[in-house]
Amino acid sequence: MDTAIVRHRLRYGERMSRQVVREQLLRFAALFRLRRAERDMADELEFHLAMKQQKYMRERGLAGPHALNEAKRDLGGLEKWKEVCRDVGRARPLEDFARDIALASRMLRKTPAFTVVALLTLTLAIGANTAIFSLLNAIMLGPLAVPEADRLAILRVQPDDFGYAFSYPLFKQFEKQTNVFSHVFGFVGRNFQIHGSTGTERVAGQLVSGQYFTALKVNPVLGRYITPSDDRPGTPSGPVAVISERFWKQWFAADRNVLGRRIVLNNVALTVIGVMPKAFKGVNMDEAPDVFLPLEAEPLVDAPYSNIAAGSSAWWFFAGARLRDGVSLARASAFLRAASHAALKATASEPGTRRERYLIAEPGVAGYSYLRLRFEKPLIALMALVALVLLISCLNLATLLMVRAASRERELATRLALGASRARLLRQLLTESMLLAATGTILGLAAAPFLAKLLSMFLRSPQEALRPPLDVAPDLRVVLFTVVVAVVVTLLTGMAPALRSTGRELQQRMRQGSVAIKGAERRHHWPHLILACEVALALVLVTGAGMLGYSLVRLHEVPIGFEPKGLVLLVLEVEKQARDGKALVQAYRDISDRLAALPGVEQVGYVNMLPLMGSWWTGDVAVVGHEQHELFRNQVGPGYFHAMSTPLLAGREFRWNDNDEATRVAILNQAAARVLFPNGNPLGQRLAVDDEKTIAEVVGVVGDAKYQNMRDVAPPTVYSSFAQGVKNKPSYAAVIRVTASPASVISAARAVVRRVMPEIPPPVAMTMDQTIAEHLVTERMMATLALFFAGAALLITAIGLYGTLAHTTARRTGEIGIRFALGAQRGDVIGMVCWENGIVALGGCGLGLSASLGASKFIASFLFSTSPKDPLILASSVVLLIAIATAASLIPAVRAARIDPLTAIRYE
Amino acid sequence: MGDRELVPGTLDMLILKAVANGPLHGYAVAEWIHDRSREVLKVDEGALYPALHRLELRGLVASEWGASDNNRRAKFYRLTKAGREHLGLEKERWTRLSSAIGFVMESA
Repeated sequence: MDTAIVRHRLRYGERMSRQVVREQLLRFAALFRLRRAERDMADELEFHLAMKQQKYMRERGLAGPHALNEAKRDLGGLEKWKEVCRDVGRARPLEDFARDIALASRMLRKTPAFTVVALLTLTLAIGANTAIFSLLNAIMLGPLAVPEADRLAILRVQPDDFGYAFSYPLFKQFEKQTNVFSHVFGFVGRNFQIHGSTGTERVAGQLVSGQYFTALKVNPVLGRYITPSDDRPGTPSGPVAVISERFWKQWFAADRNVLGRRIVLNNVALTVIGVMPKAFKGVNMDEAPDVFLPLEAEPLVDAPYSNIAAGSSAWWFFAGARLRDGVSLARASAFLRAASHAALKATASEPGTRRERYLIAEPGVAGYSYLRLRFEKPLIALMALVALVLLISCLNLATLLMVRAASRERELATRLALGASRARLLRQLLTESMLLAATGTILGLAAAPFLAKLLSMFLRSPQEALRPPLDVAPDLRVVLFTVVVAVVVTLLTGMAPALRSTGRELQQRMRQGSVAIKGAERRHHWPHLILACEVALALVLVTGAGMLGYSLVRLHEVPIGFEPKGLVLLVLEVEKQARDGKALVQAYRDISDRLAALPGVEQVGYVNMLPLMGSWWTGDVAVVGHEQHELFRNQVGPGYFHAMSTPLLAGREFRWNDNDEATRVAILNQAAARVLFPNGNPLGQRLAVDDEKTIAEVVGVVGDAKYQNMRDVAPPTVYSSFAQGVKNKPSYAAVIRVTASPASVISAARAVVRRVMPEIPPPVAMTMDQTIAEHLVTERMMATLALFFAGAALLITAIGLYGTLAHTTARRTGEIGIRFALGAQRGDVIGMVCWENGIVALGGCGLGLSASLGASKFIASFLFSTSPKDPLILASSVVLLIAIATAASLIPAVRAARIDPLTAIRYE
Repeated sequence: MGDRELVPGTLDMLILKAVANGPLHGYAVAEWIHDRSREVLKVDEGALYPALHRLELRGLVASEWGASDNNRRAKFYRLTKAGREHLGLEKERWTRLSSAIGFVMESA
């Protein structure tokens, strides 16, 4: 019995599923015989009526037409009957969908202005969202393509005076520990010089410590990788190198006998011991190294410098680790923190002079990325910005659709009365917004890669040519994001108007005639509420953009202590050539003289640390017999301050004969003079620089100039002569003050360098303006985009305000006519119409102001000497929005004022 | 007209029963039900055709166009195999239900 029931149920279920399939097939098939189905339905109905008619004629003796009417009445409304049959029958979803699309595109074609505005705003908003998202996606890449990447950690020192950098002695303190980590490794990117067929070329590489590869658990495709036994100074077989698959193919034509071959990087011969697979890019997400060298080879490739020998004063590489099994990141980090005091103390070069520091471990699943560190926050802010623009666009379309749907109420109510289901009408209305969203999404997706490329140029400077380009091609995540955006857009723009215009009260209003409809419509404040939100969001964008723009202006206005316009920078890399000492100084002088002789060149000067490049050098300086100060240092050549247009306030500049045979000399900037000689003339005074034994005489005082960045005040700086105390073949940059175009000077300058020092790679050349532009790239990108999107938001809001008001005013024609007839003046009507938008704008501004103030903390982190509550910016943003609301109201208001009372009332 | 209304949910079953003995067009289905119920039941014509279309969609009836008695083009519905099974189930259910209601109503 039980089994019978079970079997019975099974069969029933089986049949049900068969039925479902059959139903769908029929629906689908019916789609292709739509017309026939409609005709069949009419035929069937006609046959039924005929039979009924005959019956009534036969049984009740009614006349033919009378009997037909009677039969029709039995059947109820004919159209209703058909609508119900349609609902039941055939291929509702697909068929309706096709019909809805056709209808929607017809409706959209009928209002081209609306459609063009809608598509433009959606394309812009969706394109911008997709572009920013794909950039975020590109810099937030990860996880690393290594096994169990989630068990990796990146180590850093807090507070972060040196970013993520480590010194060699500090790293050595932790490299061997096994309490919480199974491996600890160090790595740093290096570009090497290699002699190829076309002269000296650069190749991207990485110096890695012994446990780097074992920690990453990626096997070479050929040979072996670097192990701790390779990472030792003076290995008997000489230093080794692991190369990338790309390098192997390019330089060795994928020769399998590459192992044991020699490559010469930076004049150091290295033995190739392995080839890493293509997918392996190391731990630094921004780099794609082609050669890996042991960390211990650093003094060889950096010769004559040595960061390793510089010990605790050089913070020059990054450190990572793999967690031991069963150890959590939090525990590892706590362990590091506890152990760091002793380690830092043991390796600190200047105990007590620095704040208390400690080490922590951060998640390393996505490796290390400078781009991510620097641009993650700005990009997230930009994402919020473009999301706001998208929201504004959606709200705008929603209001426009809503007022448009208001004029279709009659049609919709009629169809509802005829028996179409509400769901059916909702679907039809949503199809319209879906069509808009889908088209906007496709256009936006098409525009996004272009926008993303444009934006990624902001992020990557041309000097980083060796770095892999940011991969902004849309991947699955980007496409998924866009699809979600499109769906949200459809619902946001379509749902409110569709729900409202198919609501129950609609039918009641239908019965009460058009006047009642209009009255009810005015009572509904939905469009106005949404518009107010739109105004509020636009205000947030405008104030934000205003602040970012103002902040950028402030950054450009702030005195930097030199004149960046007309400055060309030429970076010479001389470490790897043979000249040294006097001969090198002479070569520098040759280059300088020849550069100065070029047409369009006014002055040439050398400098060790170029300003605003992010690097700096500090050292201890003391007035002889007084306490030491840690001041900024730099080495510059004769004519440097003149070339930079930094004012010489007292004394003299350096001269060519300020060399090792002459007295040591120093130049102070004003800030340094104030620190070292609070109440005395520094000229002729003696300073102990670097160590107590090196005594330099102050020969000049110059104006303060910005050093490592523009946001900080110009630091106290002590300058030494570039020709004194020269060791280790220092590389200098030539700063060239030009009157001609920088481009012509740059090519001539390169030729000069090639003649005097043919053995060095072609110098990197740029203008100071470019350097500043790159230095301020984040601020510029944020301000430019914020201004652009704020402008777009303003335009969209204006269109929304205008469109809604134009519509409602047009529908109030009769009422306004009556007002005129009752003696209203034009001014009254204009005021009345403008007031409608006025309220919306005022309410929106109030809302927007509080939102702006609420977000001020977030905004403040992007600003330079600009308050996020700056009353001037806030007030002018409000004025701007009110002005735009007024402008948007003018045309409808004037149109309303021209209404002829007679015509208007007669029309009603 | 109240007593002529169908018991809710029985229209499908009655239609299936009507076409069980051979193909009928919509009008004839209504007439058949009316006749067999000794003129008690009257099928609402507004609901009849949607119901027929629904049954066709579910595969319980099939339709084809043919000539009526007076030689007009009419759409005839006939019971399918699935429809016959369904009718059996429905009939069984109905019998159980109506006798159960009878027990309740006739109890003291």
